[in-house]
Amino acid sequence: MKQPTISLAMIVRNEGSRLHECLQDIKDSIDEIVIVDTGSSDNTVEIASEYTDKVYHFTWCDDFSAARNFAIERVHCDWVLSLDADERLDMSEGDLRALIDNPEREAYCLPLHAIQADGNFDRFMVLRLFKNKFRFKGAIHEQIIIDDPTVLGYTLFPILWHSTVSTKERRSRRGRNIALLKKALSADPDNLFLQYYIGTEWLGLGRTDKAISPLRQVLAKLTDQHVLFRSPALRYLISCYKSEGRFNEAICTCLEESMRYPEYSDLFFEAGILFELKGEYEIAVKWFNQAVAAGKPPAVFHHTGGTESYLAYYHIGHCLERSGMSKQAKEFYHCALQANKHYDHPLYQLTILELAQVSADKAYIGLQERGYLTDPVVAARMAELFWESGFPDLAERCLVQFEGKNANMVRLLVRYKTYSGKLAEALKLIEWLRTSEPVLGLEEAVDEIIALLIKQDFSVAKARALELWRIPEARSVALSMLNLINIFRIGKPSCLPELIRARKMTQVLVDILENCWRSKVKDWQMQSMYAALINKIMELLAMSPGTVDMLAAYLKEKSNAVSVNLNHNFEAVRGMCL
Amino acid sequence: MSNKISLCMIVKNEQQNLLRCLGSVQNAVDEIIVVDTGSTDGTYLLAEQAGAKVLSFPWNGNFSQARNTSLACATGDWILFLDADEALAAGSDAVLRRIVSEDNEGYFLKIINFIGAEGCVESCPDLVFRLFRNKPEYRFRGAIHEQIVDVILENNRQARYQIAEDVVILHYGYLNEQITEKDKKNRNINIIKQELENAPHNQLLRYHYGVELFRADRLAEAVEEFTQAAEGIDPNTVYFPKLLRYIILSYYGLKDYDQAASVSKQALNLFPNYADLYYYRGLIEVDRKNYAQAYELFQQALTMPEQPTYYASFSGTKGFRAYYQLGRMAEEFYNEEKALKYYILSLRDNPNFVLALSAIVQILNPRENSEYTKAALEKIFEFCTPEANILMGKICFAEPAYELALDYFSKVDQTCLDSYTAVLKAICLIQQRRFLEALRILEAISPEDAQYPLAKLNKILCFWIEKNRSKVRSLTEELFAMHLSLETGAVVGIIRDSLYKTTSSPVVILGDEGMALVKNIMLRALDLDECQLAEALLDRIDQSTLREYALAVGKIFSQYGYYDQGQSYVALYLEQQPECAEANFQMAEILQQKELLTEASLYYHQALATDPQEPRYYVKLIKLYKKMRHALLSEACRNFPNIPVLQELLEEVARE
Repeated sequence: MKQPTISLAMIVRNEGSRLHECLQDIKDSIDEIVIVDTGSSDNTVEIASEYTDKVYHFTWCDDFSAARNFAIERVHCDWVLSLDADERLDMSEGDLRALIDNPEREAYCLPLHAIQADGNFDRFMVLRLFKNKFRFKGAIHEQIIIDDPTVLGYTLFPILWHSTVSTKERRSRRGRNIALLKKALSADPDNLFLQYYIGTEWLGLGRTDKAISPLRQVLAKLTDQHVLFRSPALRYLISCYKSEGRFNEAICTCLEESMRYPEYSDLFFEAGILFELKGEYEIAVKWFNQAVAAGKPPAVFHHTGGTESYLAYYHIGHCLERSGMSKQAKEFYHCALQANKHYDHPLYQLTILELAQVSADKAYIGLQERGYLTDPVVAARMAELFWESGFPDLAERCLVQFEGKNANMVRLLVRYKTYSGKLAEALKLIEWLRTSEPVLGLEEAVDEIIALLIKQDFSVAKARALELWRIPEARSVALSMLNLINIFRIGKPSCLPELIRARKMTQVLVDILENCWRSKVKDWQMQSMYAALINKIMELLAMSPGTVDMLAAYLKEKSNAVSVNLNHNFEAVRGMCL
Repeated sequence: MSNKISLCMIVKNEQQNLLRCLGSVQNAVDEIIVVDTGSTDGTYLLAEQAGAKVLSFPWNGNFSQARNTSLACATGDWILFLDADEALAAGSDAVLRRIVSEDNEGYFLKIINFIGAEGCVESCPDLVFRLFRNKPEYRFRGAIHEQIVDVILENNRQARYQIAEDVVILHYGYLNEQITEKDKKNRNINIIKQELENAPHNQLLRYHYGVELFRADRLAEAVEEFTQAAEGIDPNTVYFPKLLRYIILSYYGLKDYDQAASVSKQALNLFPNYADLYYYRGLIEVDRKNYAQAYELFQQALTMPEQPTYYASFSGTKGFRAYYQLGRMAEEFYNEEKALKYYILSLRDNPNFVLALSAIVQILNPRENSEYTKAALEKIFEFCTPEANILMGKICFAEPAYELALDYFSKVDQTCLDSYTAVLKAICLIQQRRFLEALRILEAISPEDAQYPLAKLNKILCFWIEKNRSKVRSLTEELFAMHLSLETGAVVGIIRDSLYKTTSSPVVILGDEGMALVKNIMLRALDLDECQLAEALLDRIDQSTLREYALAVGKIFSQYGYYDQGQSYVALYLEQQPECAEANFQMAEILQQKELLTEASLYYHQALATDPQEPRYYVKLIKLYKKMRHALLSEACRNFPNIPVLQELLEEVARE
């Protein structure tokens, strides 16, 4: 028997930016490309023509199925692969031809991975590969309906990746969709799939209140035969309840449905999250453990990767920490990291715990030894954590390996070195930045001047400040710095006090104050230089009534920050704290 | 029916206690049987003279046999069993006579155990089985008294027991003066251990074994035994609450806070009104710095109802001790007002609780505010008796507030003071530069007295402060002849040498013992404004020692207002231990005193960064920021008097 053939059928509109990538990847895996343009005003049609001569035009009539079926009608192959231009099929794993060679199957659901903002992805199974005898139904969120479920296959590869769309575009799409869906629903009010889509669109627009009702209907009436819809509907409903603060209803839903789907780890995970939000940590941990025990659910379920492993571990750790069991919490954070090195929330928490309970040095050594500092993103985050906790020396050590290699890291190093007394080194790094970057950033320019000030290199400091003054956007900052230099040199500012009013000028000084308070120098003499700097800045700010209140407010803020930490660490021992 | 009561006892060398015991039972019993297991003092004779029937029974290591011998001789219908270090409380005799006419086989009586040392005696009630019908089959078995409870039940299934809490036995045996030698303790432990090997399922025995181990401070072993004894135990067993408490105390003593906390939680499920459990859990949480939880627990302890006697609740766990702990926690947060309130509540609950009294005195700061402290104390308490005045004197002395201490000591007639207190008084006089009076007291201490070396040392100090080289030299020679420890000797040597300007004297290395003495002496010098003497003393000490103790030395200097010296010593310490939170904190405190507020704030931040678990650091830093804001705004109001918003801000700060 001859080998079955596959055709790619797409409908497009203004996809000029993405079409190349999409088609380039796929062109060698298929036999035919059919592209239907529904009204592009850019170069979409031109690009499409580079890949195929089967490019058609279709006048848009608010009906996705009509457009898609139009495309399928023009397909000459046995099978159809339906993609959108913002999707990419990852051909590195999986074999389309092998799939369609299976005589028992007439259609396949492929995994669609939708990447979230935090790097995680949601997995949906979507019916995109089917025999040429099927057609789409539904004007919006069109579906291939198959009567005999036995002919439908599921596969985990190849993976379909869906790139993120701009928020603006997404919102406008949603608005359009809702209008279309309402229209369709008025004609077909009992259509559960339409209800589902309306629910998801409202959810997408942030109107969780409006999403609940349709989603509940779907959940109540859809059977397990349509678990492809039921499972995401379930997840979305829980999420809506959560957003609305209706925790108990969300929990009930989880409870009921988890009995129906004991293998659906996401449900246990969601329940855990809800109990965690309510502060019932012991119960939350039980649910998270069940999520882990359930493991990855079958492909057909709408699953968020990690809910059965690293996410669950992380949350267990967090619950244990909140219950005062930090030793056990740490173990679970380690589990989470082992399961997924790239999810660094547990690392952050672990380090904070180590800082609070052991010592900053040990925390740093722990990170070093376990190799977490090789990744620049992680290293930068840890450095920032050390810096904010008052350990600029350790912050520096986190990033030292990126010296001379990565400009962003070097910028951070300049700051850390400046405030841990390593002034000469900081200035050297500034020189390096000057040679590798066209323009020195404002932050490092300020750090340079501060370093020079502390070194008491007033003339060079002044020269740098004047250079800065030449850049219009940096003028207020430069003026502040000149004032500061003059306070040191001659005891009074260069500008008239009234001019110091400008908020921006004051802000840069307040920022420097904040940095000084994070400084840490072993040598008492050197430490008093930073104290002197603080005193001079305060002196400067006290010279004008407009800035005095800003300074007073800043000091109050600092005091409040300490109070917050006190209360957080000791949970506001009632009446004991002042 | 006749209800004759026989008192049965076994004794050995108890001539101190016996009379008190026998005297207390005069009207309560009709017959006294004393079995002497080998006294070498006047016990035998004393017992005979008191009218007891005395028998000799050579000790063979078997408690039961000895006791049963006493039972065999008893002719009464009832047996009352006491130890020599116990006595019947007044009024118990009437109750005793009444209950023996009732239809019970035996009684649990209330015992009050006195524990502690002079000035700090605590009481702990409990129930003990000490009264039962005299029948030949009722005989003691094994090393523990209480086993007779089982024996009686075995022989008489219908036996009914009652609790008679109005019969009170006072037990003096745990008072420090009377604590038996370690050998006797270990002997008891071994005896019980042997018995346990033969009867491994006897939970009661195992419990008592655990208790003996606990008293001998063998906590790890105690925990094992207690845990075993608790296995499968009927929750209604009368010693179950005590058993649980012992487990918790053992883990606490071993610093295994996790286990201690977990057992406490379980125990509270079973006995939710057991005050001791809340109290000890509170202590555990304080050690773990979970102050919020500790606070809740102590507050809960305070609400506990009257504790059933069989809980053997330690006195104060639902009263003065809990208040005291709350006071301590308030002090952690520098909330002196709250702390004082709690300490006063504590003293109201137990006017003899010295810890609370000391804590109050400490807050009042008698060293710097002598008059104020005296007036405040007078408002709350009256110190009439010599004991009270001596106690107050000692509390003030511990601060050290020498002037006020002298005030209290002087209220007591010289002859009432023991030699130790006399020396304390002399020290106070020295600190007032009243050297002649001090010397008079010191000279009266005889060479056989244990305080003689201390007195001698203080004589030297009198002349040291006067810089009288020859007198110091001759007296130190005499002191050397008294076999001092190496370190003390070295310190005495440098006292002598510090009066001489020399550059080549060998420098002395000291450890904890020596430095403790040095710190004390330097403190006294600073108290007398003799900074030079203090520094001369320190000059004689090797740098390595000074570096090790720099933090403590710096603290003492700053306590007495010598901030520059304080700063340089703390800086010295920070040089080698830059990560020491306490050192950073001390530096901050000194800098704040020197009005270097910004520098101080940097060091507070460092202290916090290094140890985020100390409430003191947060509180002090918050106070500092307030001070800085206040200073900033006051100056600003002066410079810009026409800006109302600044005035408002200043008032806001003042109100906080």
